[in-house]
Amino acid sequence: MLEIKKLQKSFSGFNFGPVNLTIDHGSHYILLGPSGSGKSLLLELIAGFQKASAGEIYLNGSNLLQLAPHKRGIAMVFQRPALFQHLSVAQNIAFPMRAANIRESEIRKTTLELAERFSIESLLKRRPASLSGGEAQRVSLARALAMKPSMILLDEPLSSLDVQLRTQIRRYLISLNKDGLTMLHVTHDYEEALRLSSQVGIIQNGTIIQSGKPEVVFRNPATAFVAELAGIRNYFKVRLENLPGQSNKIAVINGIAIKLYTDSLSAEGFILINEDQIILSTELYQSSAQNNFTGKIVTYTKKPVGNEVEIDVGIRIFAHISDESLSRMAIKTGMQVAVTFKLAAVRFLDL
Amino acid sequence: MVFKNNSLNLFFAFLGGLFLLFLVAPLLNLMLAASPAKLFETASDPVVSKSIGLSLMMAAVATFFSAMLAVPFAWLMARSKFRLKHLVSGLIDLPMMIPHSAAGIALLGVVNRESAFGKLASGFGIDFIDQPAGIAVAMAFVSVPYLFNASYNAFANVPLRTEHAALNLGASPAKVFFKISLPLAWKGVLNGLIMMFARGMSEFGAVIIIAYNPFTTPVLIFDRFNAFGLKNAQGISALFILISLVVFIGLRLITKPSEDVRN
Repeated sequence: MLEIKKLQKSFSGFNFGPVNLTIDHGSHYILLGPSGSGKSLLLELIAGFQKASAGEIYLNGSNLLQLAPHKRGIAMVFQRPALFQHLSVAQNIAFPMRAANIRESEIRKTTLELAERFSIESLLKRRPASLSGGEAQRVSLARALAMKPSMILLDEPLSSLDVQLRTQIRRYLISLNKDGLTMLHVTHDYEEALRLSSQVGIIQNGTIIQSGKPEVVFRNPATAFVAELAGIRNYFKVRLENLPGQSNKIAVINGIAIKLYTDSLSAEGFILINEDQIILSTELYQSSAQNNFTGKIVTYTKKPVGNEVEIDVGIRIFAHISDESLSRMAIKTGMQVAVTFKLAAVRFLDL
Repeated sequence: MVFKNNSLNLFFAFLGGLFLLFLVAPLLNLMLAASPAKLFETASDPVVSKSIGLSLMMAAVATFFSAMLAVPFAWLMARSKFRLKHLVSGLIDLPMMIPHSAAGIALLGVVNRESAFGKLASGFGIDFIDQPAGIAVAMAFVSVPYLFNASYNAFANVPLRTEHAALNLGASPAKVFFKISLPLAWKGVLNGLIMMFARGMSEFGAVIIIAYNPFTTPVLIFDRFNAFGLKNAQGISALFILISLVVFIGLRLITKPSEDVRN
């Protein structure tokens, strides 16, 4: 378990913290924040590349700030993999083991195991300069694991990769986390947070302003900033089912079947429904839209532009409607409404 | 955009031709004046071969000991940010800027037998005046900025992130320096070592002030010229230029000039 207490770092013009954060063993904690918010700085403080001005960091009970950076036992994976260009892929992976004076026979065995796990067996003799972005990131993950870290720090490890490679690396991250590796992962990408996190935190101007389970943080943003950063509030973890004879698929959540179109081959993932593309009406009517439900209004909230209405149709769905529609429909809590949206309003994110 | 055969290019090419002629003509003239037989005869002269051996040996000694001090310091400077950094950089460049004879005089003030340092060194059995050790010190003084600057640029080009990654993977700071920073900067450092060696072995001004004897080749050339005139100094000059050329070509083959990122 990682425990951060009142961690602070002062620069001229930027104050980081105080940050308090607890990351449970085995969790994938994603810290979401825009660039310049201090999220990478937090990783550098934990890794020891920066000296904290005040505060404490404990990893499994030992005070990290009293340990030299090379004795902390926490691996870090950078946005652009910091591979050692003068060493081969195999030597890169062996580097942490050689630093720890592990026997050569053991090093060879572990290098091969890691190479197999990350499908880089054929690259072992190559130099990093000849690798593609995805290959380099796989090597950097293998190298980080070679030190058998107590936890791993991920500094936007996916953001310099194209979409296909992201999926591949994301799957590695999911499998490493399933194996019990604790992760602190910083990103500015809301969708990454949705897909990967077991806990999520939002950082703004060097302070963590909200932290908790993703469904709590994203559905109940504490501030407008969190709401904006958290993006779409209609998101659900789903398993897709095929519709016989149709190109559409359905996602079943709590007995509610939502139809969508996707060419993803993956069965598991998240669906996102755009709040702006949901139509509310007083009763169900015939239309070309294929997703039609009825439910009761739970709450409605005034937003800078329009209103956000929360409807319980078996699952909670948020819709964005104008002030004019709100008064014309005489929206009230507890009122029965019909909820309609097209297939195209539903986006699928695979895992 | 490519300009071909316009009058400005032609004019500049003409200026360039004059410039290259200015550089090459004296050397070419000297090499033509010295026949292979004469070069061989010069090389067989024990005074000449001894001076060449001394020049190369002392340049190597100067480079070796300077590297011990300057290369780690270049890394430290490349990784440090402090207010007076530019001042320290300027100080290191100073020996390149001042007349080398003046550098020799300055050095003589410190290493002469009457000075505190001279006395201390004497206590350890090291004398500088008219001694190989003095030659090495004079060579080091005027040529070490080349080594420092090349090493500084090479280390500055090693991404800090790479060193951080190595630390993070459990390597001690010393291991990071020797296994990561130095190998990654090696080409630039080697460039600096060769430049310092080449510059050191050719040094005349500072060396002659500290040690007229034993002769290094540049001092011997001057001595022969003074005593016997131009013709006599040409053979040994040509021979030494040939040796310098070998070193220089070696340098160009091994390394490419690294960019100056200091500022």
